Amino acid sequence: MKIINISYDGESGVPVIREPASALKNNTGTWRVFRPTIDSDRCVRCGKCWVFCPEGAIHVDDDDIRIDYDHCKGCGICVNECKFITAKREV
Amino acid sequence: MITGNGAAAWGARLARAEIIPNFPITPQTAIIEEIASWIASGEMDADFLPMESEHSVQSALAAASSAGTRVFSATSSQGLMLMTEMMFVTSGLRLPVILVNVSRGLSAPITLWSDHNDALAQRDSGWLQIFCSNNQEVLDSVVMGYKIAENSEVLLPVMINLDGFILSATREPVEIPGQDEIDDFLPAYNPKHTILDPKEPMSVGGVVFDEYMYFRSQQRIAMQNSKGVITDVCAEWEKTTGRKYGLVEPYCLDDSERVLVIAGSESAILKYTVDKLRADGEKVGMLRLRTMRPFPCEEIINALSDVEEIGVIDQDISPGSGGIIATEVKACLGRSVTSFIAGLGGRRIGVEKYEKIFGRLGKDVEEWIF
Amino acid sequence: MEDYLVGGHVACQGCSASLGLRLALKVLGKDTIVINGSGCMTLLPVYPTTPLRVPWLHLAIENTGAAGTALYYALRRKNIKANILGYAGDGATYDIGLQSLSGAAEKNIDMIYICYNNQSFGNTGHQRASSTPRASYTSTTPAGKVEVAKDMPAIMAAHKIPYIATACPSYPIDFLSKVKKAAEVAGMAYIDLLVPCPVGWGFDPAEGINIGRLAVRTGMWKLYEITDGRVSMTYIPKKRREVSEYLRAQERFSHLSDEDIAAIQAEVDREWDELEARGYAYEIGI
Repeated sequence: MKIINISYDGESGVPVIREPASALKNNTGTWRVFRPTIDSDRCVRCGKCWVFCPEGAIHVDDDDIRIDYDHCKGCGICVNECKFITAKREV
Repeated sequence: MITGNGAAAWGARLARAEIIPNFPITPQTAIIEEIASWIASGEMDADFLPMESEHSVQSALAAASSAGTRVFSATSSQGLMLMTEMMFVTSGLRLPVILVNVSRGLSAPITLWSDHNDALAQRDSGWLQIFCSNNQEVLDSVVMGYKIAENSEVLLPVMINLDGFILSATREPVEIPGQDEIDDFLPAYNPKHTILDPKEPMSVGGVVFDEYMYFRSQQRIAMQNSKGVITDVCAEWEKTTGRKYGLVEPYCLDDSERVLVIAGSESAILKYTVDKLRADGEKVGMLRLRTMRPFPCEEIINALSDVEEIGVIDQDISPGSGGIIATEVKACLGRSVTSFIAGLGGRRIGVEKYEKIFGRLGKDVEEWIF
Repeated sequence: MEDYLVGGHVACQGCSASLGLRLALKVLGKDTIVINGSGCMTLLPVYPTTPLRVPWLHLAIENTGAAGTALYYALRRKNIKANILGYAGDGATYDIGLQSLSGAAEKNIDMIYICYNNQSFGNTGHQRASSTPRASYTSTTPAGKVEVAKDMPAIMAAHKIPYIATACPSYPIDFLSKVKKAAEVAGMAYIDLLVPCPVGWGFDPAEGINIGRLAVRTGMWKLYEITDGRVSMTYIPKKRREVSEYLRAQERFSHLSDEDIAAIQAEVDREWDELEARGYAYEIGI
């Protein structure tokens, strides 16, 4: 019996995801209801927010600590943990 | 002179299987015991992993194969059923795992003796299935199995079935090829499609949505491709060892009016019966199905299209449907066959009963042969 | 320090389990292979993207231990030096995965097994597991679980593996120093990581770290290590907070009466009194 409408794709037809960290292409920032902001003037760079962010969406650079809003889901943990981070309703 | 279990172990040894997860079950245990003794003596370079259940055995096979090593194990009936969940995983992940099944009837009621329900229960799993008729074929099929499975047109696991006790514990003359010969025939396993290496990080076993159907279509085609690959590999094997195999084994079909279709070691007794009846002028023949998956439909049609009366011997039963092989042969040929259910739980069939069966072809019934 | 688990995946807002994996991978580094047992974390790699920068293998729910065993030998044959991290939920560890974990532990496979413990079968909607604490609501114990939770670290200690610990991401330094020890030990290491689950336990995701702190400060989740059979606490709360602070902060305990809570307080007090009597350290000796 002939099989129609499908063809063999060799090794690329194997269910494996090959590109590491490709999930960064997904914008989970759209999940947010409340948007956290770091008051960078008062931030002491303790790193607590960076440690506790479940998404790894807070990055520590040489100059400052910033939030990656494409991947921040607005869980509010950083806001809860640091008095210099405040949340505002996402517009 | 070695047993079927010994032949299976030799197949794994010659193929240089590297990781052998295992769990004991009658009638397979001698395979892993033999391998254990070879590893202990240094004759075989492999890691022997005694696992806590057959489900863990198949999990270990899948994990080791995902990491790019060549693996081997063996099991039977209850053990095979216990690993059923993982059988589908191994095949779905397109891992070229080789598993020997020493067939044994399924509990309940519990039995130790052979029939084919255990292997056939896995027929939807996406594994290739090869049913062997003698111990030489067991050894040959295990080695060939690796070459077929690892082919990039296939990348599917292979189950080699041998009948419990009848083959597994019976000594037959077996030619054991030399390691050098086999090293030439079967190069080392170096996969690209699935590896677990921090230098090339892959996520294996992730979740899919609609793509599920696409990946299943790839399994489907890979299984179709395997028909051609099996034929090619068997041709190469014939060049290497002189022994010839195919998807089916026809016997005296040229002018047969009545043919019985069968799988496994019973075919040897059936051949003897065919010879006996032929000596009396009866135009009978046998078709042995060697690969149950991929189901050799074309080969069956070619072999049996001119035959008047066809019967199928099922050493298995699917209650509510019928003999599994009869159902598939019928669907393939598009005509009725006489279905015979025999040998369940190792119940002896024998020449006399086969002679009787040849005389009972022609009706569209399912007859139980006690 | 780079992240080996990045964002863009579908774990819930405030998921401590994904936080646990992110932190553990920071310590273990890029030469790590993660084996996952089916559960919430299985949904991290969703075709065609993955948030992982390290290799990941998911086979099924119950075989993280078996997969780790095989992977250990396979990596040796392939000459690949990498940490093997098993990351499976409590359902996949305490219950259905116990058989294969036991097998791996008995073989003392050189791997780190972290059980991310939200005290339920979380991904299917928070059903009871043998890790669920007594009195907790779950969808299959709506009146509150009757049985107490299994003592998994004790079960692992009975396998005589060299290192066992309990942890919580709310105490990251404690957790990560345990991960480091687990990586350095030759043989199997087991870490039971309490991961408060906002959806299952019923609290605002923003409270995730705080709930974990309360679990520890009330004494309801003990932080300790078992090193070669010897138990030692890694954190002893100076003055334990009232368990009601922890219990009343979660919907899953909202059906408890004041008497129920008093009973739980008495249980916790008794456990800690016994611990104190033993000097907060003892041989688990089996």
